[in-house]
Amino acid sequence: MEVDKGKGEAEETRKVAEADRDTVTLKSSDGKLFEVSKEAAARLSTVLAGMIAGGSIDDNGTDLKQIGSEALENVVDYCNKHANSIPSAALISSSISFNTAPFKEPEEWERKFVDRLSHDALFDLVEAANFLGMERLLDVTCHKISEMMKGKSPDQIREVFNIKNDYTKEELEEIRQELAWAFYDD
Amino acid sequence: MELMEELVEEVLIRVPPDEPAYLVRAALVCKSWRRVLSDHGFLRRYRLFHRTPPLLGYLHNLYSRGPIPRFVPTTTTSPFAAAAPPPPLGGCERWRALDCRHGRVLARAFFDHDDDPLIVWDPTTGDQRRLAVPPPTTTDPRGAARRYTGAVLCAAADGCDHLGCHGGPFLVAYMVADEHHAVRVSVYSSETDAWGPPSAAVHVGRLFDARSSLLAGGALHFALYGGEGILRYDLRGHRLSVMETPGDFTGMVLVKADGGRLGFATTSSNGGFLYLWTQQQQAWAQHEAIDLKAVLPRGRGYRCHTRQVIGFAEASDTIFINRAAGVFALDLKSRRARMVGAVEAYDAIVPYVSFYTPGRS
Repeated sequence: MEVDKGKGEAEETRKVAEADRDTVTLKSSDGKLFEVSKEAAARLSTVLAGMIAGGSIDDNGTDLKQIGSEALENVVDYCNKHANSIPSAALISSSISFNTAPFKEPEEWERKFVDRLSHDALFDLVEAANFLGMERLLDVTCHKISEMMKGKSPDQIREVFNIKNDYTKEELEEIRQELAWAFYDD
Repeated sequence: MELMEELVEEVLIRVPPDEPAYLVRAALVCKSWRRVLSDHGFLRRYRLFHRTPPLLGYLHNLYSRGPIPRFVPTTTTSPFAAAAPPPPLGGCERWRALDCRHGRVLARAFFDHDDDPLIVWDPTTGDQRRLAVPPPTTTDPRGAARRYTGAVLCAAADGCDHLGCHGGPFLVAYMVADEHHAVRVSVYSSETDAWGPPSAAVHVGRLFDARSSLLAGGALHFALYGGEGILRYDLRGHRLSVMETPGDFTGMVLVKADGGRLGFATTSSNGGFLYLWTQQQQAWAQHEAIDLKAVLPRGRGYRCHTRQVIGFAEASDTIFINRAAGVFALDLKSRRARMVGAVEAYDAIVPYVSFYTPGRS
């Protein structure tokens, strides 16, 4: 946030003081506190950017009741890693128009970042990214999850996503016959 | 744990299009996934997200393995594998693939008559449209395959992104040379279901090459045999003209170069380099030389075939190269090559590039 430092009024001084802090404190649903670079938070999350701009950041820890501590730790970790990596042209342009922009492959460090997550941690993180409006993190996590479907049968996909099959046997058989080519083993 | 419904869409949209089976299998996971996958809005977003339609296979007109042109699938699991050899077109088991663009294939049936029909075929839906050819301009029976060629393209208004227009209106341009090598073109419109009047004639030295056309700058381009000339058809002006190339480029393939300009690709006589020529202010210039040893997998034989460059896919900027080791698809943007099929004595192939999604209609 650019703040006009030329005015001496009390309100402005308070804002300047706030703006001078270069981190924000976030509080998970289970009450844990995390510090994150204000610049990175504002750049990577539309929700945090809005809160910072709107002055609704709490110095004692901004409540994020929907996000557990493990997911929030990963969010903060991602923001810090992102701040430390050299932003590439590909990354910058990918965040302009989510979902209509052509797909950009995750960078090497992003791939490593999601690869080390457990199944549950990944699914928690994708929800946190969605809640915080973190387009690039959502992109990277969803990409990782979509990769988990590669070469899997419907049964195996259900297992990964913990989904109950709501087709009847007859319905499944009918579709299978219609699209038999898709079920040959690779 | 289960994924929130709004995130399911975000995941499914990222499933890569180059293996069509992945989305079909996903549709069988549960009904709500199937609903997402057959929603038109979703499919539109899906195509925009991936932007470049994947290569699903290629057609060729080799008869060495039977009378039917085959569709060679290039995906691990293919919706077209079960249908190979492809179905009879226009009720004829023998046909020749001429062109493929915007999700449609243009073929001509071989009943061995002058009036053998043209067929526009949509491989994803199986739809076929049979077109009677316009009345011949010559009575000379010595026609054969070099006498005619054709192209198919989407007829939607300007601004169509051609990512999913294969069910919409289309045009077919069909050109025939008479015994004096005078070429005329007629255009069929699916909307009026009629052929327009033939264009004025232009004279060509040699007849058509067996290569499919290239659409660039509002014109269709066809290589002439021997590579010394290119026949250009200006779609708006309904006008034919002949462009010369700077020499003998037998075996060249027309390509779309940077900025949508017309170009062509050819290989050096020893097959080691791929040369890209582009048209710059009315003159041709060799734009680039690609060392094939550097981009094609090493350690295999490089026995040359008479024709090495055998096709180009407009929608994905991919050049097809026939080597002893197999057919390679070389992505001109990334410079990455992958083997997509076995080597054959191909003159030309017609790449088939399209999105294939379970909810198409």
